[in-house]
Amino acid sequence: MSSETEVGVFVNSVLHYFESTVQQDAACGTPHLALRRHPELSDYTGIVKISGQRDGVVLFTAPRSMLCVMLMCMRDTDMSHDNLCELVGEIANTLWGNARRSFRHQVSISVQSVAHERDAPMVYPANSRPIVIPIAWRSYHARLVVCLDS
Amino acid sequence: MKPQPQNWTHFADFKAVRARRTEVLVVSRDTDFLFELGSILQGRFRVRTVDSARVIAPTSAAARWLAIIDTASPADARADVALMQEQHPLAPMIVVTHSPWQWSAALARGNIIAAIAREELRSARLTDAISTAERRLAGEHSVPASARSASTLMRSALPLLGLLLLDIAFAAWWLRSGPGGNPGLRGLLLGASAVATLLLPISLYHLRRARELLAAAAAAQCQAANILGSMREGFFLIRRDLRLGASCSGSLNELLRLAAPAGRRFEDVLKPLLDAQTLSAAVTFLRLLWKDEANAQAIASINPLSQVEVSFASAHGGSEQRHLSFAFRRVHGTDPAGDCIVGVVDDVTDRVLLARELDRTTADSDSQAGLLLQQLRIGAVALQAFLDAADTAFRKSNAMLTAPGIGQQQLHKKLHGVLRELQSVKSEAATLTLASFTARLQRIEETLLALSARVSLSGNDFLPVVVGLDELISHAATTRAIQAHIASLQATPPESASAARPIHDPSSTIGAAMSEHS
Repeated sequence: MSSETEVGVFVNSVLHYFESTVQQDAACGTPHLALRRHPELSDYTGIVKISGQRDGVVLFTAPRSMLCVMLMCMRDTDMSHDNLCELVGEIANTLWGNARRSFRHQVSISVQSVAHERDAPMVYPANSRPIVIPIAWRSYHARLVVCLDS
Repeated sequence: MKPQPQNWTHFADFKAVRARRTEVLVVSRDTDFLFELGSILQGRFRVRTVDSARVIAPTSAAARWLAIIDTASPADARADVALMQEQHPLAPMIVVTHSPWQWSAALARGNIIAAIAREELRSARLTDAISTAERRLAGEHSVPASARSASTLMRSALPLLGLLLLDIAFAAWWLRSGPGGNPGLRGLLLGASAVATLLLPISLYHLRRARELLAAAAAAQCQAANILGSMREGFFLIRRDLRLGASCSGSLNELLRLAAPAGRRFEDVLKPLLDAQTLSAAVTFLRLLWKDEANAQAIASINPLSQVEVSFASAHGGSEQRHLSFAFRRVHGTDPAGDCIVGVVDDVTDRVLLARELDRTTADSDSQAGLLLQQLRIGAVALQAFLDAADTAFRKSNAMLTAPGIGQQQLHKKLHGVLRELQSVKSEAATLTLASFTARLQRIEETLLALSARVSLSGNDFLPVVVGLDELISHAATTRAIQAHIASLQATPPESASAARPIHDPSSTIGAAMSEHS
C-alpha cells in the first residue's frame, strides 16, 4: 500500500468523524512535510502506533478550546480533563478502526494512547519525515500527523 | 400553515391485506415529508403511515409490505429501524436520512434496501429503491420450483383425500343399509371403495412428501439468503437483457457504491466507473457470453473486466481509486428462460497495490545501479551544485505548502508556486541526464498539471504531491550519501586504502551506503 493511500485513509477518517459526530464539516489544509524539526503538538494528542510492513505513528493533536466546542456540539457539558482526553482518544480510536478495516492484515495497529502535554516526547521512526495535515474546523485548527517509515 | 396530507390513511395497526398494489408503510411524524412522499408515490401504492415503529402490530410480519422510514425527523429513528428489522425481517426497508453514509454498514446486510438523502427524495433513487423492494417482495414470496410443485401437490392431494374418505364412508353406509339394493351397483361401489382404500395411503404419503418439500424449500431459501447476506464478494446475476437479476449479495452495494443495483442495466451500473472503451468492451463480452455456440472457457480469457481500475467520487471532494475484479460464468437452466450469467466482483485493490509496490522496489534496485553510473559519469561539483539547488527548491516547495490558506485562490497559488520550483529542478536534472530525478519529478509534475486544470481544489488533493516530495527528498539524500562515499574513496591514497582494507570492494561500500539511506 502506498503512502498516499495510507495517509488518505487517515485524513478521510478524521474528516468523516467531524461530519458524522460533530455534524459540521472540517476542512483539510494543504499537507506538508515536517522538515528539520518535529511537528508542533497542541494541548491534547491522540496517538495510534502502527507496525508490520511499515512502522510509524499517527497523531491527532488539537487545542483544548476546539475540543471543548466539539463537546458542546455533542451536547456534552462536561469539559473536564478526563472527558477531553476521552474525546481525543475517541478520534484516535476512529483512526485505529478505519486503519484496521482498510489495511486489514498488512499492518498491526496498536492500542491508541492520549498525551496531554504540548512537549510530550514523541518517538518518530528514524529516517522519516512526518506528513502534517492541518485540519480546520470552525475557527479552530488541529493537526493530523502521519509518520511512517519508508 | 403546513399542508395536510389528506389522502393518507392514518392508522396504528398494520394488518395483512390482500391487495394487488404493493403496501407501503411510512414511518414518519413529519407532515411535510408525508405530503412530499404522497405526491411522489401517487396512487401506485397502498400507503399507510405510522408515527413510530412501536405501534406496528407484530402480527403483521406475514404481510407483504415495504417500509419507508424517515430517520430525519424522529430522535429515536435508529431504534425504530432496529425494532422493525427485528420484528419484520422480511420487509424491505428504505431509510430517508440527512446522512446516508452513516447507513452504509446497514445497507450491506439485513433488509435495508437503500439509504436516501432527504434532499434526494424526488430523485430517481427513491423510485429505483422502491422497484428493488418490490422485486425483493416478489422474490421472497415466489417459492422455488420444488416448492411450487410441492404446494401444487398439496392443493391437489387434499380434495382427492376428501373424496376418498367420502367414498369409503358412503360405501360403508351402503353395506350397512341392508341386502335389498342393486347387486351390480353394490359390486361397483365395493370395487370403488376398495380402490379408494388402496389410494388412501398413497395420497397420505404424497401429502406428507409435499409438506417435507415445502419445508426443505423454505430452509433452502433461508440458507441462500444467509449466504448472499454474508458473502464478502459481490454476487449478482445478469439476465439476457443485460439487466441485473433480483438476487445479489449484500456486499455488492458496498463494492459498487450503489443503493439498489438489482434490476438496473449492467451497462448503466458500470458507466460512471469505467471509461467508454472498457465499457463497450464489457458489453460486447457479455453479449458474446450469451451466445449459445460460444466457448465459455475461451471467452473467459478475454474478460475485459478481470481487473479494472474504477474511480468513485469521494464525499470530501476528489475521487477514490479502487481496483475491482469481475468474473462471469454462463449458467444453463432447465429451460432457456432459466439461463443467466453469474457474476462475481471483488475488491482487489490491496493485491494490486502490493504488486505495484513490488514492481517499484524492483525498479528502485535497478535504478540504484543506474544512479551509481550516473554519479560516476557526472562531475562531483556539478552533482553537488544540483543537489544543493534541488534541496533549496524542495524546501521552498514545502514552505509554500506549509503556508496557511485553503481558499481556492490560495490553493491555486500554492500549486503554481510548487510547479514552478519543481519544473526548474526537473530541467536541471534533464540537463545533467539524472534520469532517476527526472522520472520522479515528471510524476509530480503530471499530478500538479492535472490539478491545475481543475476549477475546485481541496487540501486533500495535494497529498500525492507531498508524498512525491518526500520521496524526492529521500532520493536526494541517498544520492548525496553515495556521492560522499565516492568522494571519500577517491580522496583516500591507494597505499593507506589498501592498508586499511586488504580486500577492497567499492561496490560493497556503496551498496551499504545505499541501503543505509534508501
